[in-house]
Amino acid sequence: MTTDIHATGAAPARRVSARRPKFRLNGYFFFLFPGVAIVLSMTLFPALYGIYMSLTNINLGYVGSSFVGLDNYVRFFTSPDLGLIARNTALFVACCVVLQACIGLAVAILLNQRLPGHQIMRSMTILPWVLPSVVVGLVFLQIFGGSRLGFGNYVLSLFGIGQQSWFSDPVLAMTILIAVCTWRGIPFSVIMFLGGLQTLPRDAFEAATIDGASRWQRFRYITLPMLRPIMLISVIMSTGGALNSLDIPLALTGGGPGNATELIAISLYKQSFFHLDIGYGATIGTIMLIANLVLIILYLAVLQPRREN
Amino acid sequence: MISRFGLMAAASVLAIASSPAVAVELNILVTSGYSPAAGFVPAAEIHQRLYEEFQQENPDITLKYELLDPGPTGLQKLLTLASSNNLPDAVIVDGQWIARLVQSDVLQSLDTYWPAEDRADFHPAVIDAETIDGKPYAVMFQTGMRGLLYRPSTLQAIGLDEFPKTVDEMMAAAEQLKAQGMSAEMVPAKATDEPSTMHMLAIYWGLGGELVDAEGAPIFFEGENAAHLAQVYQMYHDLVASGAMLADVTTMDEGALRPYFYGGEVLAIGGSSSGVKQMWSELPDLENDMSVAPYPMPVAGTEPVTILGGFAYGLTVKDPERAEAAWKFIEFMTESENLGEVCEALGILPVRSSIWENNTFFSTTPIMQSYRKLYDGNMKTRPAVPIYTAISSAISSQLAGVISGAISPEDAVLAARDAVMPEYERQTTR
Repeated sequence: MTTDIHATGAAPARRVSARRPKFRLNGYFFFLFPGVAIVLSMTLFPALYGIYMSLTNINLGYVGSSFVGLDNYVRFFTSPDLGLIARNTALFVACCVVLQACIGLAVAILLNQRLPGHQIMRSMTILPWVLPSVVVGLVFLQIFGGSRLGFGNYVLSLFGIGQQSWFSDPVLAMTILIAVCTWRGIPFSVIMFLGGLQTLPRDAFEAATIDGASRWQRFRYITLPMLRPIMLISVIMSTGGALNSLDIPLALTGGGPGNATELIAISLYKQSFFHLDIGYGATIGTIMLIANLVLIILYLAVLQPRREN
Repeated sequence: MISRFGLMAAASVLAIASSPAVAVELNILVTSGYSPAAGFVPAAEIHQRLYEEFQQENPDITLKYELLDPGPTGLQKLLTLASSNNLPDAVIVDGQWIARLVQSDVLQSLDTYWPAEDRADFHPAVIDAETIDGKPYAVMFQTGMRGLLYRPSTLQAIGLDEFPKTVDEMMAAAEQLKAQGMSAEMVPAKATDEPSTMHMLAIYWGLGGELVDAEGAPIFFEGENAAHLAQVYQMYHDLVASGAMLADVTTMDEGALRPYFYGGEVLAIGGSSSGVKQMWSELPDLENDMSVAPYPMPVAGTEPVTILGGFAYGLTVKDPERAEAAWKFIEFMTESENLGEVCEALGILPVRSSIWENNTFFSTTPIMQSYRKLYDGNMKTRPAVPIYTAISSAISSQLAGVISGAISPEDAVLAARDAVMPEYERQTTR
């Protein structure tokens, strides 16, 4: 009888070990641990601590704080400014991501051609990306300064066009903001797409050309599907960049006029560093984190290459 | 043997007894702009020299300074140091924090240290701002004043001898200036930017408006106060609608207005006294052709109230011996001649009458003379209550809507109220 019991117990154990290798504390773990610990302490811990702070009423103007549950989240979702900020952020992110992807791909295709001077053009394309964002914001602030000394107005004056108040019109201000952030982000998309284009197999294009496929058909049915993984990474990165974008919008419009161009990141900044309401700022940060994750999952679902059976 | 040890012990006791007193190590927390670590070289040099002179005059005191953020995080640091019993001996604080720091037992009364005759040299509004329950708690050593900076030569060019005192006079001047392609005035109206509110406040207070009551509760949206605030909003709207002011101001801080002034596109811009020296360095011509005027008022016969605000030295130590040493330092730094040199080097405005009278820079420079007129007029500090930041933000946030005509001045007051009161409730129920 005892033999039977041991026999029945041993059989499933062998089955499990055959499916999943047993975790063993070997030397690799100790080599990996410092790196993993540093990365987690810099990413996971702040994220979790931010979530914790979002459940408190911590404010730098006061000593001490207490647990307030979901009060900050209720405050956020019942805020009268929520509609405006959500609309601004959605418009800004959507425009920046789509424009960066489209223009980035177009420029990458151009640079992938063996045109005269393409090496210099490739180097120049990266320039906006290597400039510090705050500098980009301040430079464009000078360009679109409403004064006659502003470069934009000076250029207009050469064509006999009167002085423009660039940032006092909400639509124009948002357009400039999107244009500048897109300009800053395009080089990243170009680099990604150019790298992807250079790895595409030539034989597929040659076969398609022999079969009589037009230039558009080759792009539509070969280039685009093969660039899908690159597009996924590029779009995820540019979405994160646009959603969390603070430096350029803060330097350029600061959310103005009024709060007409206020984005969620500017709102977080104002609450945390102007009103010193760190608890509420952390709440906005947590909501941004969730929004980022949701968008990434969506992109993965839509853009991830499907494995055909 | 015993006698030899006895002699050695006696000699040691005598040596200790005859040595000079142990030096007091004075720990002070100062903002970098008012310390030897200042980024502005003349400020660093004058503070370095004064610290050295203080050390020479007081060899029994060793001065040790650390830097404190001049912004709200500095206030938080002080409150945290107080809660952990780690306060320094003396500090430089924003005048706005005084009430809060007294409430939290951070600042100690200077009543027993600061002689009445010395206090009399300060502007009464300064003494009032740093006095709580009849006792002074800090020595304010400078102030920034906001007003309209203009070129007297431009004013004369349109045939005016003096700066317009009312909005109507300003509008009339604007008509003449339009012919020359100029606007009349520009003041910052950027949302959530405190200077935007400060320019408004001078006019609002001048009309008789109040932001908070004696208990610190917001009242700017009630009765007469609401009417005065709506009047100020209306004034901004009218100035822009008539072309006397450009709509661009809704996205501008004080620094952004300067190109308009430098390029001769506007007669006057709202600015702070603390930026005057920088403006001189950017456009040297201004040193001989720039003055400051009070804001034109929407109601004839009223005058704006200049906002008083600046940094102050405070005593944070309770131990009498250390407090004595800390007071010696404060007294030395705020003494008329020394403080005059600091104010002149930094281009900041003094709050001691003797400096205005005796220091050559302040008594002879034309623009400083025009600041002196503001100094001699009505001055008032911003309410030192936690809700002020929210009020300031809410009031300035409505400016763009009012100026563009998207919201009426009366509705803007109500919108500001709706933004402030939930925050006030949160603050009072903490």
